[in-house]
Amino acid sequence: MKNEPSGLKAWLFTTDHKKIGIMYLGTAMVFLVVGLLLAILMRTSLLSPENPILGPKLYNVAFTIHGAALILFWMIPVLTGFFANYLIPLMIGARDVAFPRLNALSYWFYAGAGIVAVLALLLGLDVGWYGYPPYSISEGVNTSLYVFVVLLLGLSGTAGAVNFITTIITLRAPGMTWMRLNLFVWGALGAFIIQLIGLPLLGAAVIFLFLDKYLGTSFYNVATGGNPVLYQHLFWFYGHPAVYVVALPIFGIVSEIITTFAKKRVFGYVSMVIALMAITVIGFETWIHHLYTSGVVDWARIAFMWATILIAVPTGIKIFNWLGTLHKGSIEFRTPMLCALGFISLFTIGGVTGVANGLLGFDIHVHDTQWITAHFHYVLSLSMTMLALGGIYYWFPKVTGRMYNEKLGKTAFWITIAGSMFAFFPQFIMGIEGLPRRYWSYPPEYQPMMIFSSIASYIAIAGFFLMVYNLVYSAIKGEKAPANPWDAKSLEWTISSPPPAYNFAKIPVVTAGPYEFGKKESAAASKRTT
Amino acid sequence: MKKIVLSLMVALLMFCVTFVPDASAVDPAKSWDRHFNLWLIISVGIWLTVTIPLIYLVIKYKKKREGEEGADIHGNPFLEVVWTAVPLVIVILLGTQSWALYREYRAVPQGAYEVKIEGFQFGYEMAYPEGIKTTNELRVPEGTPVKVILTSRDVIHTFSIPKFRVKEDMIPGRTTYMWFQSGETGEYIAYCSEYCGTAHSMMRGKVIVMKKDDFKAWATQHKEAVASMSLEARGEKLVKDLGCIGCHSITGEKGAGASFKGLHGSEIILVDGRKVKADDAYIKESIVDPKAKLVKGYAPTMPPYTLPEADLNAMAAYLKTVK
Repeated sequence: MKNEPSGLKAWLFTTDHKKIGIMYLGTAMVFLVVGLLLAILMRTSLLSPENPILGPKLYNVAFTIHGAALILFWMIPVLTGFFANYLIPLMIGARDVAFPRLNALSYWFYAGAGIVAVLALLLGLDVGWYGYPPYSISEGVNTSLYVFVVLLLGLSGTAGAVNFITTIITLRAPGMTWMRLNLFVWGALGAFIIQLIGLPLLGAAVIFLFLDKYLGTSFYNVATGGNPVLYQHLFWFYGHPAVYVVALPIFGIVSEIITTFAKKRVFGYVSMVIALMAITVIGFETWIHHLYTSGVVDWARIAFMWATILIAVPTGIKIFNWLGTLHKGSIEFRTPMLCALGFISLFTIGGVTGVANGLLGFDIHVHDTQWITAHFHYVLSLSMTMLALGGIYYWFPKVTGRMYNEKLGKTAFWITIAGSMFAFFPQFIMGIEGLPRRYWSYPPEYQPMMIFSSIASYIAIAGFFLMVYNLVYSAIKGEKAPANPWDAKSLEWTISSPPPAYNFAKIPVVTAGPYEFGKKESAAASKRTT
Repeated sequence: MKKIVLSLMVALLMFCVTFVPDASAVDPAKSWDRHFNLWLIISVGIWLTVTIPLIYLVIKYKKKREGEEGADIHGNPFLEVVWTAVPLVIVILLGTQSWALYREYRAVPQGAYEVKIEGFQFGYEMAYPEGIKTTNELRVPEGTPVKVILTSRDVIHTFSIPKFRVKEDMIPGRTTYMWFQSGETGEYIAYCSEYCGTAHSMMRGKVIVMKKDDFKAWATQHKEAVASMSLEARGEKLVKDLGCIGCHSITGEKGAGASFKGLHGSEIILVDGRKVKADDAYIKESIVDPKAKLVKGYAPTMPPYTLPEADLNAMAAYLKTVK
């Protein structure tokens, strides 16, 4: 422990889960900013119906990299890379993950994929983040860039999944039973199970792309007897559960934040765990709703509709349990809490429109329209990116040992939420009217709504930038933070901020659950006694 | 309390069973609107059920003094059963409705008028039972169920007509179908809604619903009209129908491809630095094999077009007139 290298070397060669987590966070934030900058470019381009500033080709490149940057390089890595990495060992009372060097390898695969992604942006990859053939294997497309980005991320994700599932199973501190785990750990476990099962298939799907394009095989190539829809099945088998890779840890974080700032234990802990696991399992039976108009046989479309809309039930349980947690609490409005409360209301909009997309008959008309764009931005941008930032604020004192600026945090929250509400709502209307997504040019009657949406998006993005700025500035200049500024009750708050190397000088013996509020004696205190 | 909840659930289930759409309703577009309204009412209800208590709770239980903690409540099994069961019933209600609607979408009425449509980068070619063809324009008689059989020549496209609430992918190597009630006369937009390349956004078509007599007259006249067109006029129609001007402007403006204005007969510089004259031969070659002699400053994004020699000649003749 004493001969730790210092300086740059301490980061480049580190196997410490906390440092790797922070590197994930830094890299993911870079891609968040890239994604937002591309969003500004696209929204500016859409101010005019016929003469986009970006031009057709560049607009298509922009939406491809915007999607890839924000889903593959921001949302998934920030949750499975930063939050899971940093928090799981602290929450289960471990000194590190099960395979620290594999953990470092995961990060470097991710960083490598990031470099290829930037290259793809510069070389004009325009296949969409999902890369459907035959377009993605047609002439003039840099298929290999897409394949390498996905493969490197797949390796990173699979290694991470193996690592963290093992960690959660084997490295829990004495007394840390399954029913004493933080809900975030449960959410992350669900996410890693999905990564472990889904990613290999995605890897196979893109390897087939590569073989078809460069070696003339015929997986998807119609001319030689292939089937391009096969790719859509393989891609969405992971691609849809990937949404839950983001959502499940996010649900966990919402629970962590609400319980802490309502000063009350989580309402219905067991049903929350069951709901998380139910989503993990049912999530794998929903992918065909991405293929509702792809000529799939009728019975499959109907069966997958039932599985898709069934997801609403466990999700509903979570939402109502959060409300139950607020009941008779003592609620404090800190920035993370505002994000969590906003999340509950806005995610419900994303949720009910998600049910709409899952409804087979409903979806036929809105499939691949602006309606879908609006729906998943309500989910991924308004709710989840906001909440991920809220989560970063919540654990900011723990990670950096400093406090963020509360006033700035709250201001940024309100700016973002106001902006994004108005940025995406017009897209619901345009979608109902049938305007497709991924359009750089549109009939002129939509211009007023497009302009409205663009201006609102500038406000939203300004809010996001303000949130990021607050984090970066406070990490350097913020006030010193105590070990437990929120009076939270779970294990990670019992050690100093930032935590010492190897976290626990002595492995704690856990005698209570993670959210033991409302008892005379602090549960956290009882945890430290051994 | 328990009785109220139970009877509410029974009421919902009964609604679910009795609210199956009328079997004689055979217009998916109208059924879609009804389905949307049902969904909208339920969804607004759900959103208010979450948001109103949320606001009430955060105001009522705002922290009052330092060091205050919330009540020690673990949960409430009855409530949890309620908020599992009620959403489940709602989901079953919506799912049943949507299933019924989907059956309408797939059940083509007997005697439907049948048109085959082939998508390509970036347009559509319609083939009618009368043996005629149109590009980007689907003409159908009013008040008739129309079945469209879809396929694609190159990549995956989608044919969607928002007015009729229908949409289905056009997949190379196989056929898919959809149908709609053509209803009253009018002109409606059709979009490609599966991203298919650079000019995806320009891949729009028209659906023209005509009076039955007009449609018959049009169908018989169409063949002759095409045959009697001048070479340039036919070329212009092709250039517009094939969607060329999505990337190649005729005004001199820079797009994804070089502008057609003044192109014919001019001297152009290729990516390899060579200079060539844009004559008929060059233009025809560039349509068939766009990458063979790529103009400097442009990416090789244009797909190759396989067209009959007569069409190529017509297009070259038209470009000569774009000055």
